Amino acid sequence: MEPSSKQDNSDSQVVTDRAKSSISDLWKKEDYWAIWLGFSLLILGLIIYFPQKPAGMEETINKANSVLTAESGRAPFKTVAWHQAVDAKKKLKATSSPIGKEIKIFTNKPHGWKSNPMDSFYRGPEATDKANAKGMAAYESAKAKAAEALSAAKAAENAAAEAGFKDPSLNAEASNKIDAWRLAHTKASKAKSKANAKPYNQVPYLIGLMVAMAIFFGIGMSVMGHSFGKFVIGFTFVFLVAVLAYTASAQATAKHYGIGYAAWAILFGLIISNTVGTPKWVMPAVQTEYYIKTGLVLLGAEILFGKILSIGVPGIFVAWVVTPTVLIATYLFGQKIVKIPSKTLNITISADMSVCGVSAAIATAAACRAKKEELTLAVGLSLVFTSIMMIAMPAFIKAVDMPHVLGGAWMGGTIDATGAVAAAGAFLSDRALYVAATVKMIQNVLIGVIAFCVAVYWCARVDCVPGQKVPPSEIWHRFPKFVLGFIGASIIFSYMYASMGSDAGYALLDQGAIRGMSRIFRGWFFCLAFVSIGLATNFRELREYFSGGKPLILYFCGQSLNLILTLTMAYIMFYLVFPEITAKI
Amino acid sequence: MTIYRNRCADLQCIPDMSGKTEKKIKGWVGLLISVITIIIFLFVIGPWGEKLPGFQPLADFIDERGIEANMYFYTEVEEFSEAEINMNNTMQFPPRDLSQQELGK
Repeated sequence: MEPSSKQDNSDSQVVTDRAKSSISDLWKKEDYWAIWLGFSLLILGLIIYFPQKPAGMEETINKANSVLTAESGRAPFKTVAWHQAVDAKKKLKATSSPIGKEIKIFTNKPHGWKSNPMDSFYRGPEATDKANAKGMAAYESAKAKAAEALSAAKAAENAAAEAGFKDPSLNAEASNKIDAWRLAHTKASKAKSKANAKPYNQVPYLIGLMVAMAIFFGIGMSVMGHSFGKFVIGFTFVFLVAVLAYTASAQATAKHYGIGYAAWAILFGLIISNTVGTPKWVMPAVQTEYYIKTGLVLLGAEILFGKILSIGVPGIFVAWVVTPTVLIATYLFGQKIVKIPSKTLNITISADMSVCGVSAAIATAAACRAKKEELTLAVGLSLVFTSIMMIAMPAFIKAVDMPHVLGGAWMGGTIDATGAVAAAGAFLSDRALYVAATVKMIQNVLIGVIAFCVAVYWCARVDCVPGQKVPPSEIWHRFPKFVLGFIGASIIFSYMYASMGSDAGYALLDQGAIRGMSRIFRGWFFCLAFVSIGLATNFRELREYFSGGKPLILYFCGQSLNLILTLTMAYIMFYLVFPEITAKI
Repeated sequence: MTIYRNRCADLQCIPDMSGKTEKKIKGWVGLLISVITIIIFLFVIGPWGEKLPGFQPLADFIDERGIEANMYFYTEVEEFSEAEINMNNTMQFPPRDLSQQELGK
């Protein structure tokens, strides 16, 4: 938080906060430390991954693009060669380099498990061989089906080509066979990964990671005037609970219900603090804002503005017109009709519901300095609605026989959690997945803009006396500075991505510093933050925020509006205004 | 704040720790109940719910495809990477439109 001193405003007789800034804030305030720490990891990621250019990258890209150009001009559907060329580009990843694989092993979260939680941390050679043998049978079967589907797809494509692609029924038949092959191909590649697992012992790596993170955050704490030793001792506990949260989220049932690490982290923290109590020696490491802000700076690097054009104009309308409209309408509804007592709770729930769930809630809550209980409530509501919508929406779309492009856009624009969008979209079809995922990704990019706007609005309009005009200098003093790091990382990485072009950007940046560094640590930092929230929250206080069920009413009404507007806009854009784009998907 | 009640009886005057002990016991019992509840959800109620006709196909599908259905941002889910590269190339290299003449109309 920014330094502030209370001053008596003699004109209005209202006590107001007057913020101050000084040069020492650069090393004394956690907002700046979040920027320094976040950027140090991003720079490290760039240094590690940029030299890891996949062998023959340019040749592969050029060859694939020439095939794509030729196939694009040849057939009225995506041919087998078209898909194979895209697959070739997909394999180009800096994270596949030896150092990338080492980093992945070192920073891995607890592994997936079903009935034995120890599987999350250790699996010996014997158990691995047994699992692989089981997976191999499924893989062989899936591989044979994929080969069969490929032959059928090629035969149908040749038949359509022999007719000069002038026979619509042959074209449709070829397109369907190719879709079936893609589905079989995906199943085979997933089955392959289950047949080629390796034994692991994650425990020493987790201990190493804990030490590294304790030092990483401890340095900042120490410079900010706290005890390094006390922080490190407390951090071991916070980290341990974070590991438990990741372990619970890796369980098969938790995945099916869409209950992620954030929910588990809050729950475990809450249980500890409200039963046996959070030990006093842990409190120096219960630093919610410090972890969240550092995580948000990393998140900024993952927000690449170039991606908003991934699905053309319709995607922008569905994600960037409907979403802010719903956000503002829900916020106003919360203020005027539901009369939510806290503006920060209102905006956090509105952003959480309209943008993309937990990540939007974190960014917005940090930008407007919402209370930890408010963020907890928003995350809880998002969790419940995500689980329901992930199950109900694909079922409804199937039941009414809605076109999958429309259904995909609808789900992408409305289901909060990103993982749930992938599950619901893929469950319908690959086409629905591509549209749903792309719309959701464009919506994810919106987080940066929303966090920035909320931060400015709060400094200029909310955190001041009614009618008082806040000068720009005052806005600067009050402005949460980590947001600058968040936006700065986004702008820098977006520029780099655009300069490199989408293919090289995908291989070296997206599949390099972003997924190989930023994503990993950001996940851990958010998890630590949610553990801290739980460890410092009292159930009774939390209950007060839910009084009268107003947050639930707000979420329900906002989500209903979101469902209606998104479906309407998706239909208008994909079927009335830009049907030619829909036809190509 | 912990309050030590002092019940001085007879000659022995020992600070009564019963309030604190009771609180501690309640805390540990609460922790135990919470852990048991979570275990019951993960291993009994949750799996039972997954077997409901409307849910089971989705749960099986998530397992089969190994989808990280409980992640929060697009960079955490592999399917997003696949979708993105596919859509990018679809927009950059779209299948050609057939003219009416080509379709023989």
